Amino acid sequence: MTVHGGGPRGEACLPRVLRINPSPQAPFLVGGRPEAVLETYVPVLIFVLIVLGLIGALVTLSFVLGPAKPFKRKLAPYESGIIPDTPAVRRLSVRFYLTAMLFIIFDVEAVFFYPWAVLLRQLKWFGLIEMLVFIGILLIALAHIWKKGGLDWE
Amino acid sequence: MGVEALAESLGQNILTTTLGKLIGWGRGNSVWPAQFGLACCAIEMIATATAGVDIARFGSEAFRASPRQSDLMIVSGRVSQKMAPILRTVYDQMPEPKWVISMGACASTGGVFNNYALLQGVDKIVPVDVYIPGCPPRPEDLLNALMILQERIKAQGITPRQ
Repeated sequence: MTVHGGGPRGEACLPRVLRINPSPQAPFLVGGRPEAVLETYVPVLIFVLIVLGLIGALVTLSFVLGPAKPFKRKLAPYESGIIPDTPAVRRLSVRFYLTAMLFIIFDVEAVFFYPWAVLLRQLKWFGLIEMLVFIGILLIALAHIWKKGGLDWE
Repeated sequence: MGVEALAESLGQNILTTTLGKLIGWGRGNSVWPAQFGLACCAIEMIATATAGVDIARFGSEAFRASPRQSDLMIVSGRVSQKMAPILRTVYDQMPEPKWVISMGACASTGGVFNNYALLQGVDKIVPVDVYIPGCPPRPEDLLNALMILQERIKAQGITPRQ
């Protein structure tokens, strides 16, 4: 199956199963019935069952047979050997709430730039002006937040 | 529960000794060390895992970053007084059965550092199975210690440890 030399080129040199849509009658399977698609998933199902059985057996066996001697220090969270003296969930300043909200609002709006940038050449001047209007609205919102003191930390 | 308690209640017979041999074989050939490098000996421990000496030949290449998944603690280097409770916590958090190799002169005795800052031998805080002399020991010495430990684990089987 070499691409070089005098053999067929392009898709014709691929094995039959790798060709895209070799026959219009069977769009999903090569030379088979369309309903046979489900049958191809039987090995996957068997594989999933074997994996689940193996995991279940291993976890159960180690739970039953493994020597378990739990005590407080052993069950404590692993912090590289340091004994934790404060709980992991702490109270945060409410000021982070506003910062996070503003970030998410402006961050999500920036997502709209990507499809626009991809299609910029097709949209021509209309797209550019439309995006400038969009950015202008964002800037007005930003100025409003600034004026209201939303960007001040204290 | 646990297979050791089971074996103890059944006593020594053909079933438990055969099972002990099987479990000892399995445990001995899959000793996973904890990632616990302390000092210069840790460099030799890392070198033991490289292709040149290749600790994977003995089934111990999986240095685990969590003590929950480790069987073996290689104390590779000097242990300061401040590190001692941390080392003991890591040892405590390893599941049974677990073993300790004291690697090098510092871990075993304090080495040349006979002062107030260092623990004079790690066996003051954790039970040590194998001591390795040397400053630092070569990777081959660590492999030798691992082989000694493997023989012990296989001989131990499922008889409860003292």
